Amino acid sequence: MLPGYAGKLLFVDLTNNSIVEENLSEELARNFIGGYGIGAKILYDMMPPGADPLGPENIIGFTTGPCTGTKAFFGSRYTLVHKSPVTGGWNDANSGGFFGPELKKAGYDAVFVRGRAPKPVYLYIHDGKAEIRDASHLWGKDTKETWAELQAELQLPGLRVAAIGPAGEKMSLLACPINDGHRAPGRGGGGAVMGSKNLKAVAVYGTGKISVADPDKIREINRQIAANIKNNPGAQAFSTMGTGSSTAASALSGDSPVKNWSGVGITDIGAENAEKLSAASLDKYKVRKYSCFNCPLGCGAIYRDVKGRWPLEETERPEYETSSAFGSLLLNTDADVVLKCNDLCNRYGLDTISTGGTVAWAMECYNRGILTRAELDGIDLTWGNGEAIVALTQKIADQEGCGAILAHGSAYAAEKYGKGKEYLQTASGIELPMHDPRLAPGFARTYQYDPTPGRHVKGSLGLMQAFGAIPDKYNYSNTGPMDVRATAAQEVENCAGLCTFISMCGIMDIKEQFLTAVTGRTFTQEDTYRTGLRILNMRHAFNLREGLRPADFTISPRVVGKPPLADGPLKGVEIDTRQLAINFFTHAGWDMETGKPSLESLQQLGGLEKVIADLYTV
Amino acid sequence: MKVKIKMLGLAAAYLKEREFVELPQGITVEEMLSRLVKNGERRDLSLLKAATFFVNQEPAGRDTVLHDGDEVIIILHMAGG
Repeated sequence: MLPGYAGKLLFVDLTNNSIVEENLSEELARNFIGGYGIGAKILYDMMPPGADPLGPENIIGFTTGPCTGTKAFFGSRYTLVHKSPVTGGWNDANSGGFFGPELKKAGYDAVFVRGRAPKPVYLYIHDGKAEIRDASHLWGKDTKETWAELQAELQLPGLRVAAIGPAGEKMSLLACPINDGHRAPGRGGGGAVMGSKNLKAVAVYGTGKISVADPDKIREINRQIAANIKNNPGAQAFSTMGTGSSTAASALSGDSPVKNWSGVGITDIGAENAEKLSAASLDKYKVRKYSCFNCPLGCGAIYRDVKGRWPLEETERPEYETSSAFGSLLLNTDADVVLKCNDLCNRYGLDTISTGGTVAWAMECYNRGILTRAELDGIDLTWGNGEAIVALTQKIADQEGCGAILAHGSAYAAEKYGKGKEYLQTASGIELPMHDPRLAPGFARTYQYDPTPGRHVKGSLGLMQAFGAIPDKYNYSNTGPMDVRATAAQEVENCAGLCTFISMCGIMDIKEQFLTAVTGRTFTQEDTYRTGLRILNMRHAFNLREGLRPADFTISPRVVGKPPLADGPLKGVEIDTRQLAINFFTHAGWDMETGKPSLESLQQLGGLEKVIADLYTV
Repeated sequence: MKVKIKMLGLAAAYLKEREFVELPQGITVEEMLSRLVKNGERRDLSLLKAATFFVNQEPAGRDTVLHDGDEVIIILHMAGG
């Protein structure tokens, strides 16, 4: 068996009720590492082009990396892969918690599901066995109820479950599975894909151990990480206050979008009001700390709010993205509104970023008189109206009244209502994450042109700019080399199964050190570059085969400063997105008009023979 | 001169928390910042490069000159989540 891997892949066809197990080949692991790397290769090979994302031909994969479930710190991630019903192209979204590690302990590196079951089912995977089981009794239950019921039914308190809630069952395009009660591979409509297959949940339980090549080295690296974290004030704050430690600050600095991307934090919200969403304000609800599998930071927490307008006996600390999407984006500073919307999304199985983004679009349309109060079922969606935000989120979750339209996202709603398109803030149809490219322009290229559009955990040039690592961030003359290199590095980090917050560990080549110690194969920074580019090209090739071209990758003009803001710290910023794209495409060896990678660039990377045959065989 | 300070986000993790700070006349935001840093040989201070500033509610740079009675907001956010 390959060190770091469970060694097996599972292929499930719900139409034929069949389960096939295959050994993970060394070549696949070497070329694509794991996660969405392996996922992209498998889906490219097995899925016909033009498949309906909500049809039986779409394949949904639950994929782990070699570091997932090992002793390597930060190795908690799994990635959901499928064709997106939102963008019509490639989709991957990753999640922490314990589901990924448990899947590997149960004996599998990845599970791929195609077809459509005639009635609701769940997949039960336990210690090298897999069964398709009836889930009729679980249909209609929320994600937490489903998890609890399966634990009780199977008498396994340690069972881990990735389940859709009612939103996914009704194929809301905002839907995602939720694992461990609140962790989510949220983006791109994976919950709708599961719902279209009648797949309520994947339940995993295992007692196996993942062998690694050099356990002593992993212990040594972990010790160094622990020491570095102790000396990093940012990491310490993150550990105490979570990803929301910066919510109030970001609302003012220009990092968070304000008022559906049209506002300015310091004037539209103000410093005093912004502080109502600070970690100090929110952590009065904290009951206890929560960590993902084997994480030395532990940015999660369990909250309790029994005295608020929407009492919650036990809920989760909202992530930064959630607090911003239901906060500054809507001019809301009521913490209880954020807590309630976060809880609703977790229970119904909704992506908080896209749900908040959809509410923001509706809110702007309402305040401009484009959507009427009657069209919103009588809800007074005035900017910052907390009661209205909760009411609309509940309608979206239930798909009741106007919620039946808004549950499919803002782009769908604008089409359905036949108005408000000019106020959409999306990339290729998906709502945008809560990091403003006008503060860190690298995000503009990533949001628009990454093969998985609209992501904040891809192509880390934007992250480097946000952290102040690149002083001349508004100079667009030569961004290609750094953008491509940072993107390749992020690909490898994600596919290894590592959390992106490993960046706080203070070790520059941490990915390479962990991958070498886990797999036993020496992994250099040059390997990261080549492997990352190979994975990037694989995802890109999936989109090209679907007929998508660079011109099909769109971003709303307001988001990139067209027109620029007239006030605030981002005043006057207009991003040269075209130049950023040309720089990236040229350096990656891709044609800017057709998107086609050059034959030479593909041959240099190796491992892409099928892509070459498809693109270059007449 | 006396300047009022407000810290948001992670700023307080890196800087000495003060409501007011006494500074020499004509000092810049950058010079003020260096006086507030909690020093320590092994502390990783690289994130401080990403700080954002407002002086009297207006966006300010590191080279902005401070005056008596100014109110400075120091913001440090961390992307992610």
